[in-house]
Amino acid sequence: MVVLMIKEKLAKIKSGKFSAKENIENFLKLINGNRKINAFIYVNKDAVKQAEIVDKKIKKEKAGRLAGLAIAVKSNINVLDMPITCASKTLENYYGVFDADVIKKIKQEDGIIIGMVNMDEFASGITGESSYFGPTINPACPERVPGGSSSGSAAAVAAGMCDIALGSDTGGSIRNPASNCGIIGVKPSYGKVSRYGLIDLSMSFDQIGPLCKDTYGCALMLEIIAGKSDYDSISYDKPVEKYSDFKKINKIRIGLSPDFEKLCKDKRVYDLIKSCAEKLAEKTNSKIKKINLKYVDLAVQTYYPIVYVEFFSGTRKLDGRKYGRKIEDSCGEEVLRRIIGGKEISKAEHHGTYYRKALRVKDLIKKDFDNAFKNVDIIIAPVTPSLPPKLGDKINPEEAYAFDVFTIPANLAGICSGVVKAGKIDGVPVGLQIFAPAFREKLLFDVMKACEDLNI
Amino acid sequence: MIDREKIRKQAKYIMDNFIKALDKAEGIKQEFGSERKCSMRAEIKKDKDPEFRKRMFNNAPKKRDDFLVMEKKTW
Repeated sequence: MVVLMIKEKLAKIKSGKFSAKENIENFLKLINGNRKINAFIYVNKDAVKQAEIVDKKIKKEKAGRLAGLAIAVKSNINVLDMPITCASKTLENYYGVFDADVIKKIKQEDGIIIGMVNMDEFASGITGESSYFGPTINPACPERVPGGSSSGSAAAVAAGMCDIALGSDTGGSIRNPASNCGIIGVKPSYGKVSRYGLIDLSMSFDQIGPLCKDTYGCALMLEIIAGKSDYDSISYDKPVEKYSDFKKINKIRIGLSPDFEKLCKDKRVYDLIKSCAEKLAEKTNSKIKKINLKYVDLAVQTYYPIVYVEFFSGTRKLDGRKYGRKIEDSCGEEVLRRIIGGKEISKAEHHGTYYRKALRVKDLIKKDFDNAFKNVDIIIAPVTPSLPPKLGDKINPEEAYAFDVFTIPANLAGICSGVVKAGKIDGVPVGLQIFAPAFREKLLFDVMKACEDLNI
Repeated sequence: MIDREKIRKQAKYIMDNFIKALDKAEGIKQEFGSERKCSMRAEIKKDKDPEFRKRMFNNAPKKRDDFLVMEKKTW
């Protein structure tokens, strides 16, 4: 099967050279013929019928911008009549009763939801191994973990089982698996995309974003799902630009932080990122500037107390009365740790000690980035401090949390961030992370495209 | 079988270590707050989905006729 890039494929579908039905049937063959990857928890039985309807719309020239593309959805985003399990026994038998805002928009543009994909249970993991439905395998490097928590989204894209996937990113859950699986992933600015219909991990940080094999696919998807929603009070009424209409980057200021270098456990990772930044600077007549991010080494310690408390609060609805099972009686160890930990540190006797203190440092980290962006246009950083762990490796919780050290800062600061391919080390894909100021997604995509064009 | 007490102690230990680390942040005593001036949203008028109740009811673990079944003491 010939692998087409998204722009090329859309043109073929819309011109009638390749039908939406053929597109979906090709993916279904691949999904059903390769269950070992374990990317999908559920495959849409009506996908072919829906593709036939899109083909009719194409003939009438009434098809939307995603006409006939296969979209895989993380299992914590509500899709009507599909299982929304959060990859947990708790919601094993729960079916979506409405479409999340992002799903409504995708359907309006004639994208076809091909299925619900695997993930770390309740988005609480970095390896993709904590799913009740079994671990996801990394198609780009099967002996290493695919990363998490959007493990199935990244694996489905990397294995060529869908055109674009949706993931959610609270502390790196799109960017980490995108890096490990050698694909592209984007965490939009906080408030850029409506979270209505997303089962929350931490309301202060959650964002839905796209994963794809090319920057164009991510840009197109964000154009569609971004925007204000009456159902999400933190979604901003900022204009959604045409991100997929890439502008050539010239003479920008690229920030590199020695603070990130210090946090990188495997120096080969930082060296690779630095060399990519240098190539980008040379190709775009840009300058690299050193920036200081004073509090970035406290990102992990700031993030987790907030996540523990907000996750504990958010899971109180999962009491097994109206739907599902009681979460404490049916979840895995990491989910339980967050619930029990969140309950413990949010007790009245600890008022101001944990959550509020962490919120104060969050504010300092945000200011750190605000100051840095006065001197640079974008910041380049690694995605993970070392290569992904091997499948089945035992990692203690603190080691696991430390894997998010380079991705968490974007969530704390509310800025946008994207991951592109940086290259390989020992045959393992390594991603390069780009930070741009909040709501500067157009700049982010233009830089991502420039990186993609370096052909690393 | 997950040992809940072990998990609780482990979570508390991790949180205590994390919070202790935050003490080194200068300026932590500064005030913080939301930048948003208005956090109120207008009431949304939307047509009700007649199927919503039925779909939601189908997700219920225990039901009888038109009611959810649950033990009062577990509330």
